[in-house]
Amino acid sequence: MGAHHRHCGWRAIETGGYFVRTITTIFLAIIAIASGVVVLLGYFLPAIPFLVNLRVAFLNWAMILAAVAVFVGIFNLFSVHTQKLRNKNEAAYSVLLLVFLLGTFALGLLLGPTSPAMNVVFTSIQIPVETSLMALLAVSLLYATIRLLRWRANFMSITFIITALIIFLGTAPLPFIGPIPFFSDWLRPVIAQVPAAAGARGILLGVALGTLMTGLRILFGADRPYGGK
Amino acid sequence: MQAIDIITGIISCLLTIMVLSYLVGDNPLFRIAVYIFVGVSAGFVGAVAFYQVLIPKVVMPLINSPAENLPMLVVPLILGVLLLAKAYPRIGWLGGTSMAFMVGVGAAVAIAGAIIGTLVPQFIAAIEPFGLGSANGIGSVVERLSEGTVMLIGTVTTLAYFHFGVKASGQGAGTRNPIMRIMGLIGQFFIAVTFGVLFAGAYAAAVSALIGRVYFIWNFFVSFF
Amino acid sequence: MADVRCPMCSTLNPEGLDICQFCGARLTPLTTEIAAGNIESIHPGEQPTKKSTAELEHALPDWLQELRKKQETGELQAPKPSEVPAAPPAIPASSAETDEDFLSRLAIESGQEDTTSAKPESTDWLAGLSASKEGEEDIPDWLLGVRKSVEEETQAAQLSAASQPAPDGNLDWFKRLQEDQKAAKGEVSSEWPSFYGEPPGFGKLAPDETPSAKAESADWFMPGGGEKTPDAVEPTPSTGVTDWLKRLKAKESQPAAAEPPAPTPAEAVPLPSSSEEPPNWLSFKQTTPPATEAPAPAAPGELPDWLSGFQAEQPPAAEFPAPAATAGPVPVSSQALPDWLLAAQAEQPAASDIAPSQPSQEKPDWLTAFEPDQPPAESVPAKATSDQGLPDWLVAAAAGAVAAGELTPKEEKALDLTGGFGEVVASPAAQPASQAFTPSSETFSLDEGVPDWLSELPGAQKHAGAAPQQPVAPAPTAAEKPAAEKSEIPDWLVGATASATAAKAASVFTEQSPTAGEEALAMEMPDWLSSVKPAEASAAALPAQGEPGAGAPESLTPGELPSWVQAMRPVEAVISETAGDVDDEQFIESQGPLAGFQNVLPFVPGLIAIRRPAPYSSKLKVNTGQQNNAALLEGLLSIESDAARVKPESSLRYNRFLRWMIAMLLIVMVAIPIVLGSQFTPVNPLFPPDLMAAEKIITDLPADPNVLVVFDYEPAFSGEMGTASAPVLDQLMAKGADLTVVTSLPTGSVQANQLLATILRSYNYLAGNKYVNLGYLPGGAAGIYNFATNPSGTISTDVKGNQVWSTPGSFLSDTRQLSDFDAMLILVDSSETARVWIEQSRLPLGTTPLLMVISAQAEPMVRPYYDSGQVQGMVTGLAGGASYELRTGKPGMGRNYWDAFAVAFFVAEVIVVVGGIWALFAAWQSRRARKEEEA
Repeated sequence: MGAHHRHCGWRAIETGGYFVRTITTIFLAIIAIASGVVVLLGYFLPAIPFLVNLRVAFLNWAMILAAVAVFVGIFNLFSVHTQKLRNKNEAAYSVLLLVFLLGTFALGLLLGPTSPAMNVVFTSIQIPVETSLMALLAVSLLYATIRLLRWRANFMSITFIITALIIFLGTAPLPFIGPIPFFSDWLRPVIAQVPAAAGARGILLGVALGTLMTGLRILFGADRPYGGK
Repeated sequence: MQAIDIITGIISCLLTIMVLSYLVGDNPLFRIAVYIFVGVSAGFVGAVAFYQVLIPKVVMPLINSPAENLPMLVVPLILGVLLLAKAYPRIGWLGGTSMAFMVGVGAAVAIAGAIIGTLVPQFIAAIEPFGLGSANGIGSVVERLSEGTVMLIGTVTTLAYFHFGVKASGQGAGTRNPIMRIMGLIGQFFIAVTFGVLFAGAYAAAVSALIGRVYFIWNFFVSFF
Repeated sequence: MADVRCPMCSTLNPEGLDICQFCGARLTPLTTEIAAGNIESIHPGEQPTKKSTAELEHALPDWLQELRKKQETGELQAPKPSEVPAAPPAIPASSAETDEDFLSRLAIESGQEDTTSAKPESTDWLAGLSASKEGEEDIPDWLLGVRKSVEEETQAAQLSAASQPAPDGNLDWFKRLQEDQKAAKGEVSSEWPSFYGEPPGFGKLAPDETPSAKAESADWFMPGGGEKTPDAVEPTPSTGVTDWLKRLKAKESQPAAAEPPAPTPAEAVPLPSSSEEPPNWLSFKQTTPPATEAPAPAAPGELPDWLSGFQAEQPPAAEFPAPAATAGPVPVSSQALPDWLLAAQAEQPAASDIAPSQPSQEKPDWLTAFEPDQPPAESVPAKATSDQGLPDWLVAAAAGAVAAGELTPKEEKALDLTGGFGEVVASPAAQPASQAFTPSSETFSLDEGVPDWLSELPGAQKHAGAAPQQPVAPAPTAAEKPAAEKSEIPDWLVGATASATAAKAASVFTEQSPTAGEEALAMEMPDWLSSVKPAEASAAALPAQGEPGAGAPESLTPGELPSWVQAMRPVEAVISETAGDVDDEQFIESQGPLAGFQNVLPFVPGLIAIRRPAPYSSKLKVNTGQQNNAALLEGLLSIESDAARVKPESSLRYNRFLRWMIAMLLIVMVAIPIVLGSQFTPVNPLFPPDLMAAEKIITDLPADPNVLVVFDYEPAFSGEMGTASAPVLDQLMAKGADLTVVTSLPTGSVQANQLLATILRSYNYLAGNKYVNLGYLPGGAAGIYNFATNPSGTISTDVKGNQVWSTPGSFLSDTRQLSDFDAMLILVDSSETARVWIEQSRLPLGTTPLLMVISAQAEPMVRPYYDSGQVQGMVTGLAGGASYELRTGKPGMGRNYWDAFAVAFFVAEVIVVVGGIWALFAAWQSRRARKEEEA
């Protein structure tokens, strides 16, 4: 009956693990729900000082944790590229990244992020690269327009392209000539302020409703994205 | 022009060209620029988070605050340490508490913001043009009514477009309410228009960046003459 | 062992019960009464007793019956299995013949040229499979009969080394086998891992299974596993390779209660020898249930016919990041082949020239020492070294097949060995199908058993002893690790899982404990694994059997999960688990400016992705409808993968050319007005109402207003946002406004300083006392809400550490809440950020006006807030900035950029118009071509 005993032991471990997980899940859910409810009540019951103070404390803690999360992300990036050093093809890039990461971080710690030296780093590296990446997007968007017309010519895409064209014509004048009368005076403002705004309002409401539902599910414990099942 | 400006300008120009070289195709120059950027960006964010958050909100209060306030300071400290455990997969589960706390607070803020900041004001704004007594708005009553009607239709049909509810059918494939389907089609038009405007806006933003880069390079080049 | 374990719920039931008293599942197959009594195993050296299997015919699955018919009708010229002891298990051989017997025969007779007998049998068997896979029942009966056997195997292994494959015996046997194989050059036999017979990873640990088996099966199949932990790659013929044979035999002869022999290594399946006689069973083109194994053709030198038959259907070999040598078998394995067939291909290179591809530094010492004696072992690390694209084993398979002809005599011997039995045993690469769904090398949670004798082998010992200490995780969870590690399911996997019918046929899902599942997901190599030394392993192997995790009944698997389901099911569960794993970070940006780059950004923007997934439901219940849906989904997936491949080269060149043309046109056209310094294009004098409202509000502000400015735009938008916000800030500064800057972006405070130091440097705000930079506000919406309701309590100091709220004389000394500001100006590039700021700060602002300078891309989504009155004024993008300059009469950067801006828009208009005309023309042309075709 050794197998039976083994089986029992296995089951016992399973049961124990399940119990621990259940307790953990409940604990995490209680924390999430309690913190959420406190903050939410702070919105709607601002007259209760204790609640307001607790809400302020919770919000401050959340801010601190968000800053700590930044370091978790940085550590993750660091470890990823440390691992990639083993890959000969990618090692050079990873070395570059790690050197600049550590260098910038050290400089920031020593001199402060708003120091002139950090300003130089920011204006000579971060702004040029980010802006240039954004500039690449201009080419990509035009390229995407052609592809859209070529391969996805349906009602929605044609409406999309025509609207974009009208906005193009209405936003900027013809080079060295001037604004295009009908488009810039009437059509562009009307489209941007009526149908586009209507669609945007619908989208915003949809997003808000979705946010509401998701938030409520978290506060009810139905969703637990922090772990636990 | 000072030496530091020249060095900064040269580095900026080089990095700009390296990134724009992606237009030719993916190449090592582009990758170098991007990896440098990511490293600098991460290091910068870390320095900012340390200097502008952790020091004023954690370190300084621990040093300066009276002892009775310490418990309120220790809690975020513990939560922060637990959250750091997330960086290590083996002990990552320790960060669950911090995550639960952040998620709970974030959910509450999002709920309140959505209700107070978007749902209520936007619903009111959607029906506001039909309040003929109000003096708001420009133009005649007819204009405001027609504009409000279009806005309302657009808003409702857009919402209908995002409504994915289907009626269960025996065949397994659900059927959509015909009214909702028609409304969804109308909403599709409004969404396409909105996306068209968004697209034009994105192009404007990207082109502005391109113009800024070209302008910078040209001015830097001209500054030597 | 009197109790019978339920194959569905793993609960022990008294012997004699037909139906589980807990879950109601059938304990004994319907054919038990037929097979009853024939459960004694045959030990090595014994001759099997011939038995008439005719009585079993009616109980056999359709495909087996058909297979017999074919034999009888002479379709296949294969000797009857009963006449060929070394026959593959697929043939309904004598019911009393056990795997031990079969394997022992192989060991003894491997020198005899009996390959002809082996090949046709396997051929026959598979032909039947292919013909009947559609109608096959879900749970093979033979699988249910496996349960009892494992325990008996264990006991036998402990009692008799002669009759059972005890460690030493097995080792000896293996050596003997090697010698025999060398002598019997040309004969190819194959032994398949036990997890072939079982649903990969879904069974529980057999008593004689040790983690080493899991490690092996995991590593070599895992493309990246070998790199990470080379030690985990076991070159030993360990993996519970034999279970499937047992089951197959049981299925054929005693489908119900046949007692499979212990997982001895001797259960080699004779393989078709070196493509001499292309077995026609391999000509079927559809996948078969994963549980079925096929003998792998050794194919040293040339591609077997059956493989070439496959090639026609296969995608080009170029799809795989495999060497050119993959032209042969690799394409075959890519799509249509079932997993086991992939394994067959992988076997080929086992001992050949694959080993050189293995990075030497990753080869464990023990492996190096092991090589001379066991050449096949070399292939294992080699296959495990690849970490992307086509699994190395697949590459290696093809490479080995092609390069076999170049082998030195010594190598040829090794190849023969691997081709015969050692190939499969020694090279985990021979089990690709299960690899795809087996745990990573680090999990060691595969449930396949490792025979005790295996733990005695030098290479296998490393992990063997770990079982007692380490809870063993069921494989299914870990099995998905490979899939999760990849950003997408590899092509070969898709191909291997392409058969929906196969999925239907194997619909048995076993139980998995949450704990075990969690363990299986653990990505680190257990300490015990790395610490156990070979000497300890053998001693630990037997005790391992007594451990809960190694309980014999757990190894039983009532059925098999279709491979495609295995590939799909765990992904979402494992993704989050592996998010923090380094190798899992090999993702490529698919959108945005960084598209196409690997790991340029942190993988986990938040923290949620790092979390360990919670244990999930242990039982997968699939009904017919769900299977149909899954099959449909699988079809869609395969279509997707197919569509991605057929991009013609000319199209790619054309697209690149088009992109170049657009880029050149845009850059040149934009540069012309900048180089010329032209300012000819007039700015639209018709100001939008939102802009006029903003201008009016600022104009109406009192002198020296106290203005809160939110700098929430990324550096990428500095060109546009700087141009748009400069005239607004200029107007405020001209009024002597006290500016308080805050940002929810880490770079925001520097952006503010930079803007004030460049475009607006004339006001010299940075050096004065009218500017406070509060810096970074973390926490997203929570931080913004906190600041909006309690500004001084949220950020008490500026970026220099000065107490700005309480310092006498500071313009903030009287400011306590948001509504104390005269105005709030938000400079924002994204509609999401704008929305959060509006939502959280509108109420605390009270009657204080809220103005926004936004990027053009955020305009549509912010406009509703302007329409609703939550935002009182807006300036939008570069155009808005230029208009604002015109409005305030102070030309600035907007004016400088305006001509180029107009040109860029003109280029866009031309491209859209031309593109539209071209699209119309192309549509018309294609329609005409279609009509012509129809005509």
